[in-house]
Amino acid sequence: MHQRYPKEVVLTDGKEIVLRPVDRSDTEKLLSFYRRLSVQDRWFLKEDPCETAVIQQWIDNQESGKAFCIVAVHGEEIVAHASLLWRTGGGRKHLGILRIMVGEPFRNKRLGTWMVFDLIKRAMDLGLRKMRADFVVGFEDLAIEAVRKLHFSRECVITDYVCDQEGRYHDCQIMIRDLHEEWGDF
Amino acid sequence: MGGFLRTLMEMPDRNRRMQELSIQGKMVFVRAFLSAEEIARLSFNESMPKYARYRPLIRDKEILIKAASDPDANVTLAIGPDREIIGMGILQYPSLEERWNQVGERLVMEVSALEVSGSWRSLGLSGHILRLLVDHPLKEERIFYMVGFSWTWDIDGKGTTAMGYRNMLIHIFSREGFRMYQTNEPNVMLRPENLFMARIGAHISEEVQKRFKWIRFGLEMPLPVP
Repeated sequence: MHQRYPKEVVLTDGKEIVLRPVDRSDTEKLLSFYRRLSVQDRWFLKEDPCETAVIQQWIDNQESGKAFCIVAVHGEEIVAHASLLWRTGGGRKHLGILRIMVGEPFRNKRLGTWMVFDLIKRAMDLGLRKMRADFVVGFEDLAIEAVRKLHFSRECVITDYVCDQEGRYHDCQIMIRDLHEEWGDF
Repeated sequence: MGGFLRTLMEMPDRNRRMQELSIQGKMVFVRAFLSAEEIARLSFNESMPKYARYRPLIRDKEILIKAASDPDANVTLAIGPDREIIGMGILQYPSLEERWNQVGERLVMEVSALEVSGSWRSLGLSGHILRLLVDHPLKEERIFYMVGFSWTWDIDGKGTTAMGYRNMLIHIFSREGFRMYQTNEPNVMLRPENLFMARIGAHISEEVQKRFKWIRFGLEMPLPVP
């Protein structure tokens, strides 16, 4: 499937972007991307991607067949990063977990949509049956709206699940998309 | 071989490409650039759709005849025993309302149909039809494209999944120089397995390629700074 990349997309403001899979040589550029984000953008992530070991673990996961990650490149810079993670066995092996981070200057220009759309195709190719994405209500509303347009639906909201920098609690919204093997939505 | 098919084979026009195949012991002719008159003398294979979800895109010979009336269009047919049309491909300019016309006048052509009759499927016929379809004298001066909409695919009949069918199309079209491209064309965006592929002719300028890229995303090229 890697031979189907790079993929070119043009954003609504005319910026031309290349989507391609992450490889080990991207470590420094990914670190740089995450370090450019605001603390608030990184606050709700499960791991700290400003640490080299975290990025390297993500790349290890891809190389060992537990994840597929793509980056959006503008010029020489990584401007967004999206991952599809899955388990290789057990009761959740049919489930893909979606994570996405788009750099602030590239938000609301459909870049996230293109990346999620690409990972949906990848998940279908892998034979996964569902995709899940978790978002913090009030902070990631743009992302919630973007995935909703891609047929993710709100499965549940866990109240007061995460805590911001000031100690205030926020809801976490779990979005699920069914991946049909056949066309059946119409 | 019947007289009509012999006549087809003997056509002197350099565009009248033809291939003779033996499929399951039966002689099949795949013939490009058929004229309206020639199509009128053929009949449709009436294999009823076996699967409830699938209906052939083209069930009317008039559509083929109309397409063949454009001098640049290529109607390529697979003709089986008894002059029956058992497979078809159409390469033609897109309808006027399609965004692809903005790339340039008569610059972009669509593979608008590629279909094989039920009982002749999974025998490699579509690959032969496609090869002759895009073997067009203008192929290096044109952008050819195809759209694949999963709701038109005979997934049940093929015994595969939507992604399996998609991958099969990618394989067939890639052999003829097509590549996958992203587009925000609303129908393509409706389903993740839908597909847009194009073959950009070798003589297509950088500027036209760039315009094609922007039009894929529904954008107009900015005017050059004077």
